[in-house]
Amino acid sequence: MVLFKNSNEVIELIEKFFDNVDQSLLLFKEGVSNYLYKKTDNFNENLISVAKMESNADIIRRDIENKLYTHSLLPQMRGDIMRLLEEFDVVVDLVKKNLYQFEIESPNIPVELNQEFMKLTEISLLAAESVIPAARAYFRTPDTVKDQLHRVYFYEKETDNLAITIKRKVFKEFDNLKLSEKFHLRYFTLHIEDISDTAEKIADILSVMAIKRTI
Amino acid sequence: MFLFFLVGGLFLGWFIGSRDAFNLYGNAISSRIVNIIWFLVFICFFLVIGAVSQGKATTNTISNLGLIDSPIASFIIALAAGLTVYVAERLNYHFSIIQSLVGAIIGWNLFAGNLGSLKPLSLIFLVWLIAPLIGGIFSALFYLFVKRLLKRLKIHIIILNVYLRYTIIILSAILGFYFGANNIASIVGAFKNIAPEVQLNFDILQISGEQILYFLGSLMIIVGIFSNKKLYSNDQGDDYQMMQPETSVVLILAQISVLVIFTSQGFSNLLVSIGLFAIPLVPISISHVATGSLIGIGVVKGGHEINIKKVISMIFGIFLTVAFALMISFILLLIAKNVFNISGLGSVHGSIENTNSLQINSIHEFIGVNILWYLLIIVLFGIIGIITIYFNKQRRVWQYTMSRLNHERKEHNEALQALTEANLKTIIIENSSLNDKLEYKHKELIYYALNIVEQREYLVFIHNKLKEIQKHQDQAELQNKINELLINVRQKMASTEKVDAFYVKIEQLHQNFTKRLIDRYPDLSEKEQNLIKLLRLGFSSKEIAPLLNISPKSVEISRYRLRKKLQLEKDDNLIKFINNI
Repeated sequence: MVLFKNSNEVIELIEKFFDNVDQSLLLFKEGVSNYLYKKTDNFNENLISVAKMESNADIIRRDIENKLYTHSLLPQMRGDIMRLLEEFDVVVDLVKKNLYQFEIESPNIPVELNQEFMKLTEISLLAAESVIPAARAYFRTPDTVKDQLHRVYFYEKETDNLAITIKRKVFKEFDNLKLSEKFHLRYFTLHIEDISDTAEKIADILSVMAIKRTI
Repeated sequence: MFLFFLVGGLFLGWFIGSRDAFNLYGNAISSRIVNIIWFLVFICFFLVIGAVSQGKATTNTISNLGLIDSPIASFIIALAAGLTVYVAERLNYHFSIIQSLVGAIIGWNLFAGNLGSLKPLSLIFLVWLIAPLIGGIFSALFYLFVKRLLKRLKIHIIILNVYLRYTIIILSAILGFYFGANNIASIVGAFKNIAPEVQLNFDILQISGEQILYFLGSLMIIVGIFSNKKLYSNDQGDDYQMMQPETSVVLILAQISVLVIFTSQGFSNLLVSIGLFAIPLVPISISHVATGSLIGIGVVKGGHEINIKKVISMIFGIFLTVAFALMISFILLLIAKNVFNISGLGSVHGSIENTNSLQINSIHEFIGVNILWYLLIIVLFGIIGIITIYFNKQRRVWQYTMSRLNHERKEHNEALQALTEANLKTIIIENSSLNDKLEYKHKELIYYALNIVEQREYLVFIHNKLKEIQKHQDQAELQNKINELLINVRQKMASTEKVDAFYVKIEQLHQNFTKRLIDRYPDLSEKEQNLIKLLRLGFSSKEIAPLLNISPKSVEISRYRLRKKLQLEKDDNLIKFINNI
């Protein structure tokens, strides 16, 4: 039963891919924390690990795609599944890109905003972290996917609210910052927000996929 | 000559292949989990076996409607059926080939005045009406079963797909078998009574003329199947919406069940053996069964009401097809007789009573005694079933709403909790960072305090020494004591003890930094290492000078040498470089 063997391989790869995404999210959280609290060495280590995770995710995704098409697995759904995995890959790319931007541009984040930025990162990543179990559920219990997506929408909304609060604070309260620095901070708020926005996009794709999966 | 007249029937075979096979397997193919060509070849094999081995029973039912013994009459009947099919296709209404053939045979009976053979007609119509209904009920039940089973098993989608692929292939072969058994009647029904009396004898196999007819008919179905390009093209347009493989399995299962009931002699015999009535073996319209099955799934799935318009058009289509074929057949026979002077088109040769086939006896039994009771029981069960389903559905809707509400509340609370945890985590990180800073400041204070104490002690020491020197009168001794004190002060200035302690503290603050530094630049001297550590702390040259006990200018020179040793370019920032080590 070659078909079963190949199927099991693809299943393993998909699980590995999600683990990879999950770990890169954790590293991003750590990375931002290390940047904010000036732990340069640890931050640099996070940066290297995330870069590795990103290239790993690309390799796994291509492998899955290759196996799905060469072994004619899931002919009806593979397009949707690949789109889902590509969107997850976008999250990992974002995580890497954001950390590099922190390193290259070294934004001047006032200490008073550390807590807010940390919280923004936490909530934005909670949205991304919540979409992973929903995606895993799609493969075994598609009926439960919709229930798991509520959290993603909730955290995305919270991220938006917090981002607005931070931006308002930056532009209205921090008179000692230059306008260029304020713009810089706004961009970094947006970069972190991007992660939860992509998670929301994945949630939308997943909910349509779950409906299509219901027989 | 016989073969020439057979062409009419074979045309019907081709039409069945190209149209009905598409209706039958379109779902399985649209699910794209099978290789189309191999799939069709596999099915065709079983189709031929089904037609040759099981086609007799259903064909008898059709051929017994009119014992046609003229090849020309058979040809005209097949032609009338073919014309009906063509017109129905052009008008795009719900029709079936078997219905048009039955209509054409009725036309022949009317022409020949052979009305005695039409007794089983009411039963045939009844089966045609019931078959889609049974298909709907079966598909609904199978759907619920499969859905529940999959929910319970929680199989991974990829593995499930492999299982479904094999299931669809096996079920399609069974469906092909019964498809052949059912539809062969439409092709050879009009020709069966004029089949050549031949008997082919092979060692292990004996084939009669009738079986050759079944074989030829099934071959024409195969030609029809392979001539339908829609089956091959991946883009089936709007003809079939992409169907989940699970739904395809349910549909095929429902169709097989209905076909087994109405075409399998074995199943009918089994029912008789357990004391129930014999099932009338009647060729049915598979496309009607497929429509009924789809409606059944739609109803159970929810959100889909029964499309009354579609049901009416289906029932209307049955009668319209029969009436239209009847008319054409009658007119063609009249033309053949009166215009072309063809004789022997219709004669009364025996009647239904002359035949001894099992299904005709069963029809009498079915119609005569038990039908009312059976119908009554079915209706009663139907009503009870509908009421139960209605109340069950209401209860489930209520339960679902309540559980959903609870679930959403729980989700909301959990999300809020996670948010609070995120807040807490941020505060903890912030606190830990503040603690680090506090500890550093605390250490710094202790260090300064110790330093002040030490300086004070040393000042006291110098003060006492000077007082002691002041007491001396002898100039030489005085000079000696002053020199001694000067040496002491110089030693104190050069003392590295405290500076070492200071570097230890630096090392504690920047763990592993020295190790990384030595690993990357093993040639650095101890003094240079100290200079790097101080630069890393952000000290200026002026501040570094007293710590290294050298002048600020010497610090600048040391920095320049360090840059060379670290192989830095002119534009490179030394501090930034050190920070990145």
